[in-house]
Amino acid sequence: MIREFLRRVAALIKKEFITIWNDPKTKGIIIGMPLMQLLIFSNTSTMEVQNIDTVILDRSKSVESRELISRFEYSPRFRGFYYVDNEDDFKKYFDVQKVQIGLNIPNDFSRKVKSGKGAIVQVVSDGRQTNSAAIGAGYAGQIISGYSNDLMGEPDTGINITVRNWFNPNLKYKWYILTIIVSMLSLVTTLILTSLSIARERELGTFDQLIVSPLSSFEILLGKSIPPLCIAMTLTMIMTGIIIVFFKIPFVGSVALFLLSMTISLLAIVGVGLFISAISNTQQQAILSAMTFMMPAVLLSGFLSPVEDMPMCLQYLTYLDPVRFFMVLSRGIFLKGMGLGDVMANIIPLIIIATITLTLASRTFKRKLG
Amino acid sequence: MRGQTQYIYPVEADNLEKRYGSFYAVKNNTFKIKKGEIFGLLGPNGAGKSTSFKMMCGLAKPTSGTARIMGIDIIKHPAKARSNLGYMAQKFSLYGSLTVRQNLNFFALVYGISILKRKAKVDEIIEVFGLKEYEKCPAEELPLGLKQRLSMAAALIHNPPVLFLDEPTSGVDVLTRRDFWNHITSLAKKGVTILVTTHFMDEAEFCDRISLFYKGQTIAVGTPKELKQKAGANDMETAFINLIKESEVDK
Repeated sequence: MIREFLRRVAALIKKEFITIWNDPKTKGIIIGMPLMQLLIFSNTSTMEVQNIDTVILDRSKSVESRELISRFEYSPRFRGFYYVDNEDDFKKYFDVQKVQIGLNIPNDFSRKVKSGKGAIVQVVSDGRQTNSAAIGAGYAGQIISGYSNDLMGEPDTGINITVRNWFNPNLKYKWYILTIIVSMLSLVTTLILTSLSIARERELGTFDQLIVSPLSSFEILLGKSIPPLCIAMTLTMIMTGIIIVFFKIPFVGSVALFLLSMTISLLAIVGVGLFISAISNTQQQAILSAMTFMMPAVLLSGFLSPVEDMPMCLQYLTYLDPVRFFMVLSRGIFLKGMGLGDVMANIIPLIIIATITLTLASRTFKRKLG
Repeated sequence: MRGQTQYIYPVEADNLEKRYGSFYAVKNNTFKIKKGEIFGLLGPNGAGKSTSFKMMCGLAKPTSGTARIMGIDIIKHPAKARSNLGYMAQKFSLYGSLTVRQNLNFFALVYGISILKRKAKVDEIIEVFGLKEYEKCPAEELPLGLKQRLSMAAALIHNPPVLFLDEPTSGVDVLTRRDFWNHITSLAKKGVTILVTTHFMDEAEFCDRISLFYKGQTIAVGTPKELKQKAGANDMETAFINLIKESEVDK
């Protein structure tokens, strides 16, 4: 019995691999797409604000104002500088979105600095890009207060702040984004691969041929889950290798825990994908449903904004989202070296999700027969 | 002894019924097929022959009633019943991107042929169906006639005692059709029980017995000769039309 079971499952798995490999489109989905996106994302998606263009209206034209401006010029954050001598031109640079930050130094700047009465400098930022505006203005504030401290000459009075960033000391945004991009890409690949698999067979009529064969639902389920899982795991490992070797992101956690949590996370996604596939009649339906799942799942995962910032009811909803746990695990193990206890706390919900979705999927194979 | 009595009819439909709301797609369908018999399901489109066929092999769930293959209930023991069944769909439904040999290998394993015996079995079936020169060709690149032949080969790879064919010759040229029926009749002589649906009247003549389907119900069962006599017609086509008209009048 067991031998026949294994033989049938092995035949299915082999067939899946051959069909995936022989189809150029599917091959593109599993090789080309993730690697290309890894390259693109790693170089484009950044929330660091750099290369800030600045317009400067210096009415003071004094030693002090020059000193302040040169501090901006030598900051790595700021790039292009436009010097104007009236407010209209100042405004124009914002209107055409040439600059993100503007620096307005009034006539009496030098006099007030010298007299120690407290000078005023205006920093204007382009609020249309909310986030970069705030960050850019923050940098400008730091430079100005740095200059101010130097003028006062007594930095040790009052409270001095020392900031230390744990797990990512230099706050390199790439560290953050790349670990997540890797898990996102393996997630999308797995979801597409699995959501197409049964729908395609149904479209081509081959699924009927499987149903009339002695294969049981469970065997079909195994045959349909193992190949995408293997492919996604291989892909994850390759991409992880790439970001460690080429992007020099330190892997501080346990490799075994990382592999374990990746396998279980991907299994939960396989379950979702197969369930979507089992209820779809065509590949088109399957892809659309996969996308419908993806968008909210990614938004609720804490990828774009932390789960803790969401309204309470949505926070509860995130417990249904496999991507949420997936994200915590990949980032946590990769950058923080998350321990066994924390890993388990995130793996158990994933196991529950995987069990439910896989069971639903295998039930739906047959239910769909009508 | 009990086993023997069960095996008298390799294929049985027992009051098969399929209902959608108050509409009966198939009503009260009962028939028994003897060993080595070619049994044809005939009827116009939408008469319910496809639905009956699907319920017989477990692709659709009957609202009530059941079917038995080699005495095994298809609903209670689907996997066991299906291992006795060779199935060929109307539409080509093997894996297009797999080669002829890979397809046959796959179905051989799925139907429980051991790895050791598999090669010999696949070689044999490739030989019998004359697929030798195409064995490395992806199935989707074969012409239709050969695709049908491959489907039949895949359906027969495990030597099933029962073979179900759903419009096996639709879209195939005359020569290939003749070829096909030669295969089917020789299989029946070897004791394979065959259930076939068709809408070609000349093919109906090849069947040992025919069940005529109309509006979800069987309106006549018998040998082609009996049906023609009953309808007072010389050929199947007229018999077919007459019998349908009669059933309309009865209502």
